Amino acid sequence: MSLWKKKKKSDEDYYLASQWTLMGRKLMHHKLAKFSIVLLAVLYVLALFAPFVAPYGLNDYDSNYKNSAPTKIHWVDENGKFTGPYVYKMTYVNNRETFKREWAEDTSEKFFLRFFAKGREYKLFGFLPCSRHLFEVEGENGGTGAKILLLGADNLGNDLFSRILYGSQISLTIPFAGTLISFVLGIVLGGISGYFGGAVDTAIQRIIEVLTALPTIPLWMALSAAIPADVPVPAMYLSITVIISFISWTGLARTVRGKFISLRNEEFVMAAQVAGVSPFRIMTKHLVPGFMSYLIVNLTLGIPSMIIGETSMSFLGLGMRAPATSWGVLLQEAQDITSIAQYPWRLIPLIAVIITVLAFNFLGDGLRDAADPYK
Amino acid sequence: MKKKASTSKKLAAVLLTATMCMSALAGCGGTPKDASAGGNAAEGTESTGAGSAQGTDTAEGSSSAETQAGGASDYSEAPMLAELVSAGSLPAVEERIPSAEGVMVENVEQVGSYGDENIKMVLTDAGWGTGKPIEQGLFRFNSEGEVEPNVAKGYDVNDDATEYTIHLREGMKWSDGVDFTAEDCVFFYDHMCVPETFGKSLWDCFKASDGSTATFTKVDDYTFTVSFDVPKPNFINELCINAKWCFAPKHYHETILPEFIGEEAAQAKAEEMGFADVATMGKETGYYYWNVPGVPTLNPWVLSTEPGKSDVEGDYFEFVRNPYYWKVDQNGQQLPYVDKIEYTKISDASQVLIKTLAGEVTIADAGWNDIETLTENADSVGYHIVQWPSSSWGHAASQLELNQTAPDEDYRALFQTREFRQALSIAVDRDEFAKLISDGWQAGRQASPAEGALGYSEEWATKWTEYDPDGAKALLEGLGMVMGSDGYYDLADGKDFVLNILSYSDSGADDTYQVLSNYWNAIGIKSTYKTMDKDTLNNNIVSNEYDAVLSPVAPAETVSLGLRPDTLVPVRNYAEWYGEVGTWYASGGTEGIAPEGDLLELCNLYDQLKVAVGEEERSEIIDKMYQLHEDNIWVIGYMESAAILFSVDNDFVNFPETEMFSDEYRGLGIAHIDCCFFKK
Amino acid sequence: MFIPTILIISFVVFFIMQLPKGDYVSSYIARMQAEGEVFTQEDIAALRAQYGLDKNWVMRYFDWVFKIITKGDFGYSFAYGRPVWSVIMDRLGITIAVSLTIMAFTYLVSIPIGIYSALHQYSPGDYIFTAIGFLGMATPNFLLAIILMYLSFTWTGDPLLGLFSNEMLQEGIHLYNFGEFLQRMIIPTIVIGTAGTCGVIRTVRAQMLDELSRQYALTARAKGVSEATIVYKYCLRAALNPVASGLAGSLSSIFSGSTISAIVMNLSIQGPVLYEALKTQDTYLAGTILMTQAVLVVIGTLLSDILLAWLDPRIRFERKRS
Repeated sequence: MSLWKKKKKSDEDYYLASQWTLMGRKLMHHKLAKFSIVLLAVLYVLALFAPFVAPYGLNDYDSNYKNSAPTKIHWVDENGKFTGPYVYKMTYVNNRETFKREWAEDTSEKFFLRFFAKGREYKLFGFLPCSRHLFEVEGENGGTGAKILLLGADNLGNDLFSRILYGSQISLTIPFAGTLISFVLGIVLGGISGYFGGAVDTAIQRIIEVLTALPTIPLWMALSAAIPADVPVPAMYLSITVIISFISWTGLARTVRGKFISLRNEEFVMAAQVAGVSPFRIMTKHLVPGFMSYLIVNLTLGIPSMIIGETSMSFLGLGMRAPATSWGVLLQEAQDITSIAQYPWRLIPLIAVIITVLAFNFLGDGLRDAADPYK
Repeated sequence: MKKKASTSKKLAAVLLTATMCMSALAGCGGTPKDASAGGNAAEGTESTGAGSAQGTDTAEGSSSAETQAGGASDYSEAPMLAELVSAGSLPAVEERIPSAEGVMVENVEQVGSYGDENIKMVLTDAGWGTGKPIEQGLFRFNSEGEVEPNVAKGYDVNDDATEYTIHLREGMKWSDGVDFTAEDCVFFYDHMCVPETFGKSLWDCFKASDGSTATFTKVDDYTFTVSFDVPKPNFINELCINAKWCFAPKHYHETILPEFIGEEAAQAKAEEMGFADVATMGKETGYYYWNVPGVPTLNPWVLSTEPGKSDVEGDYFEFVRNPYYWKVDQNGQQLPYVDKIEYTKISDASQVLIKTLAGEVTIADAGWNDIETLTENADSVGYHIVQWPSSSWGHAASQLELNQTAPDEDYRALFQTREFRQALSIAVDRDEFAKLISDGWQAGRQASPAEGALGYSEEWATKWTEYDPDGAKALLEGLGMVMGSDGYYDLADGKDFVLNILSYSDSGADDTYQVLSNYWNAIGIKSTYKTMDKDTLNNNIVSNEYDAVLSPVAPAETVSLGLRPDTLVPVRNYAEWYGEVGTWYASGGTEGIAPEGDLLELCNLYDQLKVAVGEEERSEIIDKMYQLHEDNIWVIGYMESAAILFSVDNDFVNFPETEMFSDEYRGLGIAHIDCCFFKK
Repeated sequence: MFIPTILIISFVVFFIMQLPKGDYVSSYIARMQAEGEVFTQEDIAALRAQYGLDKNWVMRYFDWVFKIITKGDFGYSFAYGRPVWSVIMDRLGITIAVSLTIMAFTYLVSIPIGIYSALHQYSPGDYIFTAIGFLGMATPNFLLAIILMYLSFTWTGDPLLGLFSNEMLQEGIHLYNFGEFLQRMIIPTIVIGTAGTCGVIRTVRAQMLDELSRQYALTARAKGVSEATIVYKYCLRAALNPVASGLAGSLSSIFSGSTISAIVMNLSIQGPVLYEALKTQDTYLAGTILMTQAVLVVIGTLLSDILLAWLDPRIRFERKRS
């Protein structure tokens, strides 16, 4: 009896629930999407708390750790006794015969890891002064002691792990702004072009042709000369991203137009038109949902190209530039044979990019399934 | 090719260049007579460096040449040419090379043999890249920094240095077999330099101090004179750097230049050769002649005329041996040893490393950044790394040049104070900096002549290098700068001061700036940094829209201020530190910004240098110019220059282990690759 | 419609090309100075006059267009000192061959995978293809190229840089070395191809998923139409709509090929020529390439509209009606 009642109750909930609630529910049943949401949440939290989690800052160059491999963390001492995590100081000598730098652990002193310890000062969220860090190597300040480099160091002895964290503050935000702008522009202009046809269509198609044919390289060169040097690098990057998105909506617009042309004479559209529904409403309520999957895919595909698109901008002095860091900068720095051959850990930022991109994609999959009324 | 002399010795010799080459070459001028008396091919001509008796190893060299007592009949040639000779399509070797008195003997370190392996090189742009390694000038610099005969057999000069008599080699031929005579040299000057056939105004070496120009006169087929109205004491040295070869194939140019065939026919000729207009044709065939197929040259290799292998803009082209090349080794084998140079285009400099690893290059540039990868694979691929000292005053990306004519008056005044430059210099811990930037392979130092070079002093190399941030702050305050509320120094009148630094993409300054800016921040100097395309940066420099440049386009470097002063003396709008003063000097004071104080003094000294007659006077002036640089540190340097690295095929013999790499010495040209060969 | 569009595009292109500071002469001088050349102010002025750069850009634009229309003369390349078309023709054949190969690879690989992924949604195969696709997409092309070349070097001792070995450059491509040429196509195809593959896979997959659950598919299924017919005859056609829309740009990329990847991999195709021409402000060469691209974009738009109509009867009928 109670079981029946319970079932009835849940059915009622189901029938009465709004479309969004339904979508939310379905999404939660999609395991991979759920996992992706958690993963992305973690990434964003890490980005938000980057200065707390990162053991080092962006300007902590250290000639003693230039291109150092990831630090080995020891758990037990020489006698096999568990001591908790500690590291040794690394030293190297330049061998002028082989041109190798020979690294060695200096085992004379153990440096233990401390958690939630006070260290370098920073401002959380940009304004809260703090000095606690998630973890740190004891007695290290001043660069004389040991360092913990979870993912190795870059060519100036900066901690790669810290840089990836700081980089995520840029790479998890700005590309999305850019993707969104071109996404909205693409749907709106493509939609208008396809739905109304005629002169409007012709005009928009010509604009698209002109934009597609634009030579971007001289445009960037001119821009890079025009932007004053004292504009902070992230601000410059943001503005460039916005400009890119104002140029790159054309592909999506073409597709949306193609879709609209094929859908606008369907009976349901006719019916809506006869019923006096405004064109805007027809487009947003009846046409766009018709190819939601494609739109979601387009959105998820836009993200990786925006994240890595920055690397090619750096060729023209327009991308991000160290000490300001993004994942694109890190990939750019790793792109030579010697980095790959000698310091393979410098490719780790690539993993961060791929994980993010995949997570967004699987989230997109889940959203698509959830939005599908037939399932 | 025996060059074991240490760098320092070599560099110090540059100082002596001007002094000694005069006497040495005057001596050379006389050798032909002695030679004809001796009748010995090897001894009769100036083998490498033999003209300069002061070199210890050259003495050995010439003696080894003398032991080779073979007569003219002993000449031999490459198999590929021997085939042509026996087929009757080429004259015998004795008829192709100059007479026994005229032929040039190179005393190669190891006598080589002909083989069928070719030299392989890669490049991004043909231009000078293909020219310098094979260029043959009238005279050339040897590794001691002295001028020695090359295409010319020698010269005489009259007592007041107004007339130079230059002797050529009898029986020498262009690569197409036509005789090379004094006509070709006079033609070059009268019909190509003076009328600016290749779009360049007359070189300084042909202008005397009073502005009058040289006159070329043919004496006989193998002798011509160059005369000036007033004394021109340094002519041969300047010729070596400015005009280099100073001859052109008259018989060839007479068939294409408008002066001889008329404007219309020349235009048609230009179009037939694929050039836009006559001017382009003049420039390409007259100046970059080695890159145009079919132009006769005196080089060891000439561009192939075979379709698909003759386009220097293409992906692949080759230079094939010149059958009329006029040099032999001490055993009478006609040079070069190697049949061809094969060039492959790459689209990015980073691909040199890939090509090297693939074993597809004989000689290639190598970078310090890749040194670990390069040495790791050297044995398995079969190359070794050769280090040549550089003539640079310091690591280029660690050179900071403050524009002495900065557009903002206040900035300009600040940059002109020694104290400000000193503050920026001592603000940096050079040991830590050098370790960070170079992996510890190079050491920190001030920008100054390389060790052992003319003008080098340890005092200068360490001037303002003591790390002293507090001292730097005191200096800034001494200049009246005041600490602003933002933690950075402002100008005395309260105006914000920001050190705006420019650089170009891939200059290496991205890394150095990161580190330097930290140090500057620490003394309260705020800075910004911007990179742009090199071409764009150059435009900023030409229009004087910049304050400071890190990793200059024209970094301080020269083997001697007296030879090539461009980066260190404001002779034209070129180096970043002197900016518009260069324009001022080049325009004779009508344009640009007039210098003051020591910079004016530097310009005046250079004026004096141009007319100085005695060697003593010259070196005295040069010393003074160096002193001015040492006093002022106009170019701030933070790290020493790295050696120039090459990866060289292990089988490639006679490539020098160490030579000064500089433009004056024509880059790879001083390696004399016509004397190199492949071990079998 | 066609001609004015091209004219507008060419004008805008010309305008943008002259935006960066300086001109061909200043960039030429910069390079020559780096090689140790010396220039006086008169030399520079003479060079400008020689190249016609002493006139302002609007004048130069009209001169150029006028010559194209009246004489079919596209001008000379400053850098090459040759007529621009002779420069473009040098690499046209190989560019088209490479681009077509890569395009064929992209579509032949990705459309079947897209269909497979849609039909087997959430199968291990679907996940694997998704992951590989994004791996290719999220790695910057030049980084991927360098990684692949390095791997090729460590495994085979040959990094396979460029499309031609030295031997091919000397002897030309013949039957006996064609195999090696194909080998050298592998890395460029993977690098440039994978960048586009992921997009097409995901697009086709999403489209197919949409179409497969449409009413018409259900109806067809109910009527007993075979699954293959439903998938390939009905759904796939509709699913290819966005792919067809994207063709507009592909035509011009066949002509110029990709740029930055081509530089990194030393591919002798048109892209790097354009890049170099833009950087050095070799105006007529860059202008001609860009204008040809514009023409191809316009033609591509037209073709893609036709293709859309062919794929989708609804559009076709509407065209007829109007």
